[in-house]
Amino acid sequence: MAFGIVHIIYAMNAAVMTLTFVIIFKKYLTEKNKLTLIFSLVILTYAVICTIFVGRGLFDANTAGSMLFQRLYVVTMPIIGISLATFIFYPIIIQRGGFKDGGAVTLLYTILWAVAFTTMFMLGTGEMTYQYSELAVDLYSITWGGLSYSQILSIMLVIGTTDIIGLAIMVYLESDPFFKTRALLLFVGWLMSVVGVVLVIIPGLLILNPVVFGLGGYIMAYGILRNPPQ
Amino acid sequence: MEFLEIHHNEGDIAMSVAKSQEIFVFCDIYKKNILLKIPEKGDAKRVGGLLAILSIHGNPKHESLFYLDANYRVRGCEYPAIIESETISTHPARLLAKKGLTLEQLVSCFGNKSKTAVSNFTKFIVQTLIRNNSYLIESDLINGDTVRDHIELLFSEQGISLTLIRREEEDKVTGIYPTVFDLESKKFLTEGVNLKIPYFENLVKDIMKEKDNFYSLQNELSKMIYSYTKLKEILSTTSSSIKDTELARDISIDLPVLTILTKMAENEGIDIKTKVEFNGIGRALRSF
Repeated sequence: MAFGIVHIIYAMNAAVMTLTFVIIFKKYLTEKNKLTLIFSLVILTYAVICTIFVGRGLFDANTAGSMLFQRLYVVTMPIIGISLATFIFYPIIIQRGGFKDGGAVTLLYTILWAVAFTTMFMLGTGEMTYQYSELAVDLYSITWGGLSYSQILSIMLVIGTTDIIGLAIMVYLESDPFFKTRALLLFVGWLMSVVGVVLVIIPGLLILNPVVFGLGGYIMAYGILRNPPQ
Repeated sequence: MEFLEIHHNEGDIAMSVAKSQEIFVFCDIYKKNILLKIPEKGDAKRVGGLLAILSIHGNPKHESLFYLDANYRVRGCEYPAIIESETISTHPARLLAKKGLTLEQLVSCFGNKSKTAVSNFTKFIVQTLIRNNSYLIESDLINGDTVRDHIELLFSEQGISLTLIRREEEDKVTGIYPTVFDLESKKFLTEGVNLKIPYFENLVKDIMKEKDNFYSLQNELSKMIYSYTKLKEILSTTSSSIKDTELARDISIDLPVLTILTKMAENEGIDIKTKVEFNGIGRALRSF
C-alpha cells in the first residue's frame, strides 16, 4: 500500500468538499434553483476526484489497482472543469440569448464540451506507463497517438483557464461587497486548483500538488459556506 | 426563550453589534419592513426555541415584540406598550386566526389532497399578489365569504382584486388572464398569468409546518407588498436601468420574489424590460 501524507491531505479535502456538497444540495432541494444544482455538481466532482486519489493510495504503486484509480482520477478531471464552466456560462447564455455575444458564449461553451470529451477519451484509452524508473517519483504518464501526457493535459487546461477568466469577469462585474468577495474566493480557489493540476506534470514540484490543489478546494468551500447578509 | 431589546431610529438601526444576523419583518402598526439585527449570542438555532426580540421604532416610537423561530421567520408579534388596548385586541389577523379558519383549513379549501391543495392555494395567492383579477366561485355565499375574508386578511389593507361569484355569474369575470377558482369542485377554471412559483410553494409548505402559521404567512406577504411599494418608488425615480440583484438588495427581498414583484409592476404598466437588467452572473453567485 502506497498510502502517505499526499493521500491524507486528499482525504481531508474529500471530507470538506463532501460536507460542502451536502450543504449546497440541501439548499437545492429546498429552493430547486438550477444554478444551485449545477454548483453542487461542481463540488461533488471535486469531492469524487479527491476520493479517487485516496483510493489510489490503497494499492501498491504500479499495480493494476493503482493504475485503475490513476486513470479514473485523470478521466474525472475534465468533468469538474466543464461543470464549473456550465455554472459560469449558463446564466450568461440565458441572459444574452438572442444577442450576438450570447451566440459567441454558446459557441465557446460547446467547444469546451468538445475539449472535455476529447481529453476524457484520450486519458481513458491512452497508453499508461509508470515513470518511477525515469523520474524517481510516484508518477504515471498517459500518451495517446503522437501526443505526450503534457500535451493532453495542456488541451484539458483550456477548460480550466476559461473558467479562470469567467470567474475573473464575475469578480469584476459584481458590485455587492459580499458577493464580490465570494467571487474572488472562487477565483483564487479555482486558480490554485488548476495550478495544482499543472504541478502534476512537473516532477520536482509534484509534492506540492495535494497542498495547492487541496488549499484551492478549501478556499472555494469557504467562499461558498460564508453566510450572506439576510 | 431568549429576550433581546433593540432600539431603532426611523428607518434604520441604532443598535451596534459586531457580528449579527439581519432579517426583515413587517410591523403591523408601522406598516413598514423593520430590519432586526440579531446578535450571535441570541442565535435562535442555539437556544432551540423561539427568540423574542423587542424592537422600538417608528414615528411616534412604539414597541413591537417579535417571536422568531430557528429559521428567523416571524411566528408572532405583540405590542407590549399597547397590549391591552383596543388596537391589539381587535387586530383582524388575531380575531380571524382565533375565531375563523386556520391556515390548514383555508388551504384545504383549494384541493382534496394536501399536495394539490397547497399547490392550488399558492397559485391563487400569487395571482392575487400580482394584482391579477382573481375570482372565487362558490354558490354557498357564507362559505365563499369566509374563504374570501381570510385571503383578504392575508393581504391586510393592501387593495387586492378578489371577487366572490356564483357559478351562474361566470360572465362577470374580466381581465386578460384572470384567475378563477371553483371552491366547490376545488379546481381552477383559469389559472391566470403563467408564473414559476417553486419559491412560494416551498414558503407555504415551510410555514404550514409551524404554529401560528396564519400570522407568519400574512407577515411574509406584507413584507413583499412593502418591498413592492419600494420597487415602484425606485423605478419611478431612476432614469437608467438597474440590475435585478441590486434592486432586490435595495428593496430588501429575495431574488426569487423579485421576479414576482416585477411581474406585478408589469401588470401595472411599469416598463420593466428597459429599467431592470437581468444579472445572470450575479444570480449565479447568489444561488448558494
